[in-house]
Amino acid sequence: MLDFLIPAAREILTFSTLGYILVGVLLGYIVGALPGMNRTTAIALSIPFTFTLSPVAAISFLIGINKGGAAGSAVSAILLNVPGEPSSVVTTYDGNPMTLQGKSQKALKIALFASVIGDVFATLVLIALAEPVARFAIGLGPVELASILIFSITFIAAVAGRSFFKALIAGFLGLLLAVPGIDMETAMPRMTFGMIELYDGVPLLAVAIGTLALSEALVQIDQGWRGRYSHPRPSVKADNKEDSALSWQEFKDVSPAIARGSIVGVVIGILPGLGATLASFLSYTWVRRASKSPETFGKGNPEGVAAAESADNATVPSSLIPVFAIGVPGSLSTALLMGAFLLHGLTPGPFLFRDGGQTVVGIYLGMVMASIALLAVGLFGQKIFSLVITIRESIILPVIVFLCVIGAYFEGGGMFSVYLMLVFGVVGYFMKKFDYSFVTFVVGYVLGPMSELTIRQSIILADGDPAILLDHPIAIAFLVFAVLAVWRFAVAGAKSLQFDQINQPIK
Amino acid sequence: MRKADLIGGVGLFAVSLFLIFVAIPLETEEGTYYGLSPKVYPTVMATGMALCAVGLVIQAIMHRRRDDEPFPMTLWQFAMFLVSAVIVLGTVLLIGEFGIWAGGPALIAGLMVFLGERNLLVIGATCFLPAGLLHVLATYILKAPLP
Repeated sequence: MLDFLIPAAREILTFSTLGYILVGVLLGYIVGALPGMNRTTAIALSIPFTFTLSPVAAISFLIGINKGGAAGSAVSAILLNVPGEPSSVVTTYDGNPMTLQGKSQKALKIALFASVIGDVFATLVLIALAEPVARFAIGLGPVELASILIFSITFIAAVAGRSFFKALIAGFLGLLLAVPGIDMETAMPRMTFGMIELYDGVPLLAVAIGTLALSEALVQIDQGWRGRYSHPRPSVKADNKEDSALSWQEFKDVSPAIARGSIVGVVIGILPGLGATLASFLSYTWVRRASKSPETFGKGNPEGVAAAESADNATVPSSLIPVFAIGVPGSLSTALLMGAFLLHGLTPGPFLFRDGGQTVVGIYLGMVMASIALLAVGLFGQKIFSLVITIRESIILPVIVFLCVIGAYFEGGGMFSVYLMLVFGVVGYFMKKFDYSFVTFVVGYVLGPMSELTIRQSIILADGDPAILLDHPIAIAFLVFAVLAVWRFAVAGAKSLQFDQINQPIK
Repeated sequence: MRKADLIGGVGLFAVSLFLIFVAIPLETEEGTYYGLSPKVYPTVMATGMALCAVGLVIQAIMHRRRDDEPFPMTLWQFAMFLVSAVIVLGTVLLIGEFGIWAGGPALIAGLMVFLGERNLLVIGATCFLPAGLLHVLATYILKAPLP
């Protein structure tokens, strides 16, 4: 790994690459700060604009958006009491009371430092863990990989939505969506309905932009018809300097909360499907229980902001560990990043370390640079972001729809991709309305080809004898985990309890 | 959500049946294969979807007493969705036919007016600025074709 450090640094430490990372973080911060917008929308819309970049610059740019989005969502949560993303719901509990007390700048600074520390910690964990896990994963055969994929999709379906059946249906739809195209073994067209444009499969950007970005815009348009949106103008003015500045002592006081949040974020981020919302909720609960004054939580306790934001941001790099090591994404943003890897000719998984060591080190360096950019953007852009969040949705949403159209066109395939994107926009709209899981859908779609390949290889290896599984204890373990996950989260009803808790503020 | 789940379950069951009995058999050429026919994997996935759809319907019928949530979509919202979809589709057809300079501003302006924006200056600036920026970005930086 160290052999690649200098060439990778040469690639990253250029004016243009650093510029792209900075723009990515800035863009993510702005989108995260806008209520109702989210980072997956920004990533989906930005992928087409990375086609001319080098893979390292492109992936670093997209990870920058992801990091910026996670941190930026705290801005509207603190200033408007409207979370930029679901993962910042917990930040509103103490962040907005701090604003009402005239301490909005202090709250924003705590959120920023907590985000950056959680992010840096998780990036270091990613760098330390991904390669050893990949070295282990390189020895896994198709039987093990097939069982890991079955476990991942089942586990995500079990935890990703209110209804296990609906989440699993979304997963099956995603897996089926990966079927059209030329069959990998027979080289014959399959489910293409005579359309030559589908021979390469259903285009990733049409699916991603349609289901994630356009559908979100359509949902917001039907809610905000005739200018029903209104946000009070946020106040970032503090009554005195003490209320706006963050002292060293105050920073020391919130440090244990940041440490706890970072640990929770890393652990939850690695597990598929759990996501940043659960991480920030668990972190908040842990910090509140460990506090000597739990009654102050929900009334403007800075530790609450620190716990939620550090956990939220720590999930971003740690969720990339399974992508780098095994090639299995566990969340929407990582599924999109995996798609971006593939579009840039990189195959995430253990072989990435063997065949593209310099690229991996380059991306690691890009992530570290994105963390630095996050701090700089957050420190210097607070007042700008507090103004950005007042831009009306009647201006933002039409521009987003326009970008969806052009983004789908950029992938190639002409207007066919655009029309396909519109179809997926409608599908995504109804999925959102009827509460079908997007995570299982997109993860299923991204993992579809790998899932089919490993299952077909396993069946050829087994030669009709299911007893072959007995020679693969790891595969058995993951299949047992899948059954246990279904039992624990879906059948035993623990999942519904968990989500009800998340949806209710702790006061 | 019970009614929504019932409708969704029945609809998705019909989709999976269409896949199993029409789309997969008719739209897949088997060719020469070793091991597994290219039809098997999608058939298994579609069957899984059909079983889950049945499960969803049964769950919705059995949990009818927990039907405390309203239908996720009002008729008014659906009508608004249809109007916005028509604006988007119409202007996308314009983009396809005449390019982004004709369809792009129309798309943005149409949705802005639909969302209640009445300030002509704001509408004008928002319409042409993104199209102009994209034109510059695509032509001079990304060197990518635009519709």
